[in-house]
Amino acid sequence: MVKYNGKIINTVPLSFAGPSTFQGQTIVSAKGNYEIIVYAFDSQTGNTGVGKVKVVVN
Amino acid sequence: MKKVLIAAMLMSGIFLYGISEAVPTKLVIRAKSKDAKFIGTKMGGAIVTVKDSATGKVLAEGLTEGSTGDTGKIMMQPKTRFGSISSGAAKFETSINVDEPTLITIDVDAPVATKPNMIRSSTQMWLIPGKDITGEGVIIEIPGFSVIARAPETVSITNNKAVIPFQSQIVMI
Repeated sequence: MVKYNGKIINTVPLSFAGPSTFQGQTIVSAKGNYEIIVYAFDSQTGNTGVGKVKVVVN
Repeated sequence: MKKVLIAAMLMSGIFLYGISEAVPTKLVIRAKSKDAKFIGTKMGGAIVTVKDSATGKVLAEGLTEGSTGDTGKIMMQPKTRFGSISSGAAKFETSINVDEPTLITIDVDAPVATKPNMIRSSTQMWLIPGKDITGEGVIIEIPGFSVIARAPETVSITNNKAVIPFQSQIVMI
């Protein structure tokens, strides 16, 4: 999920990039502070997890 | 004779009741990741806090230490009643002095290695003086994944657009 100005503006599925590693990208056009929120969900177990990282676009 | 015996029993009961002596009581606590293995040294352990539920007083605290345990027993073989899955697995072991049955609250926070992913699980139980809880001990389950997201700190706009690449490491807690 891509967050900008307090709102989720895009959702991007990640692709497998190696053991335990997943990657993706998003294209934006406005300058500012973005937050990438990565979540994991296993429907069989109900396990969830979230990681967040901030990006400045200038 | 019967009356004397009853009187003696009552007196000894009163006498014993009057002694309020704290008894060291062993307690083993383990943290297990939901759908995975035990949380030990590899994930930085789990923070265990044991409190007196009535007063909030901390009775013991520490980290689980040790290995993630036996993969076959934990992940592959069906668990049976009284069957052990924790042999050799990480644990926090303590001894708490209690002089009467005491309701305790056990909080487990894990994983320590990636603090933003920490989840707390809690339970309560009665600790009975002298009745050690060892072996499997108290197994507390921690649900969830450890997710670490990475991206460049800054990205520049070129031709009216900027590509933000990101990567994530996702593992069982």
